Amino acid sequence: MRPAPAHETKLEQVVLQPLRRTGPGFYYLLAGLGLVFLAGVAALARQWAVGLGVTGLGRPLYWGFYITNFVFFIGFSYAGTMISAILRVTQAEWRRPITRIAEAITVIALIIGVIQIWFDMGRPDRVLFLFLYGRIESPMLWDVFCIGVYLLSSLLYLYLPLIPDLAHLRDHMLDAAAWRRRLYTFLSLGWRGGAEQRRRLEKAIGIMAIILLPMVVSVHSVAAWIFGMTMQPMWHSTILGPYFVVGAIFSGIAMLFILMSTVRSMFHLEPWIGEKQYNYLGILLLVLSAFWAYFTLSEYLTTGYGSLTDEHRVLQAVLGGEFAPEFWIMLAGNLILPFAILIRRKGRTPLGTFIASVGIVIGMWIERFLIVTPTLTRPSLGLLPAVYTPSLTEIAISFGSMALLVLSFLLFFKVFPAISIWEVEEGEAVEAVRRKARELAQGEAVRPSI
Amino acid sequence: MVHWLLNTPTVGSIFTILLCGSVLLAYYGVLRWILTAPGDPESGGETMSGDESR
Repeated sequence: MRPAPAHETKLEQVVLQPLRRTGPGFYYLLAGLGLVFLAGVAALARQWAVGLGVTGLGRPLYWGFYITNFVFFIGFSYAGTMISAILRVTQAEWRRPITRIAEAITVIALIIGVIQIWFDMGRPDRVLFLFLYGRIESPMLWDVFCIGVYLLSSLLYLYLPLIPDLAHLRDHMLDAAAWRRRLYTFLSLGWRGGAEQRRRLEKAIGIMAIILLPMVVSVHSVAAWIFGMTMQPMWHSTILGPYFVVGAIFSGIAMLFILMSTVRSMFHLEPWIGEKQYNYLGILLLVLSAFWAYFTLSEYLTTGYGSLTDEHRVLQAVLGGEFAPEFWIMLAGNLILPFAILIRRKGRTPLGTFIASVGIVIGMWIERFLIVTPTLTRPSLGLLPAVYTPSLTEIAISFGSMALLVLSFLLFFKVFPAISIWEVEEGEAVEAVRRKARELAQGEAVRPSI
Repeated sequence: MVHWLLNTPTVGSIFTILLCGSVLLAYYGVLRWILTAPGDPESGGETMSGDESR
């Protein structure tokens, strides 16, 4: 183990420690996740060799786990940027230690979400047709455009605040492996950190935060419109866009909690990611749970009250038919569990929020599944009802994708700092100035007038 | 004309690629603007010690 240089602050020492040293536990975790990922790769290789027929997907049930995963992962990507951008725009000081984690989730989840579409294609070699023969009137093309721009923007939004930290690593990690030093030198782009350069960087980050907010809404709305623009029962709904957006923020914050807690505990970041972050984000999670319940009630009540034959059949399948167990688990995970744990201040602890978040992530995956699949099991064009049983291939690829998400996340933070060092130090300096100003003001107040 | 624009394969793709390309160029411009700030030499030169980078 290499000792940390004496001139480094405590923050730098703790944050850079995982980059300098890797314990055996990390390798065990890596091996476990790697095995799950490889099982997914093997299943995918078989699917590509034999054909999509191995999954049983076809008419009328052409979408199953893959499209559920697509909507689910894109949802994660939503919250990362949303949380980071909103907190930056509102200048919430407690955001500083968690923005890097949130921004990393965005990029990684977005990439993994997009490749789900590829898994769902019967002819994966035709993926380029999306770019060659796209029509403006197709929501699929809108999605290609929105996700493309969002991915570029999120990458830049992750990269910009990384630059000063990369320069720090370039200048201080002189005993690191050669590939690391080359990587830090290349990515820091010769950053010198002059006053004007800093001013421009902060301005660019601020502008990007504002640009990203409407972009984020557009991405998930367009994903919803892929469903909503069809005349299928329970999909053709005007609230599907906002319903997707609320669900995306909800599941994304839950995922942020899970990964934040994992990184916090693995990399010993407790002094910086603590009570304040868990309390404020826990309240936000609670509010979003209520919003999600409101949208779900609106959707189901309106459909149930309308009693249109096709829609009613789908609704019955969800509420009392073969999808009823999933529906009640979803309700427990998304509404009952978060309220039971997070409603009290004592519940908004790292452990409490972690348990609530795991429930929400499971509940939200089921919610996506209940949007995608029941509609297709009750076709409205004279076809017989279908039964959906996920194949082993789909299950293996889904778990493989989830393992890839966590794996990419952990590897990312073995190469780059999990906390934005310069932003946290800037926050500490701002806090110190404010404290001094308060002390001076109090001193003025108690000084007797002459 | 509008119908042709909306309904013809490839037109949408060209439109998408042009828009994404413009965004990419704009972001490259942002990076250049930051890195070539007055008083700060352009990228690629000697690096300074880290304390100044923060």
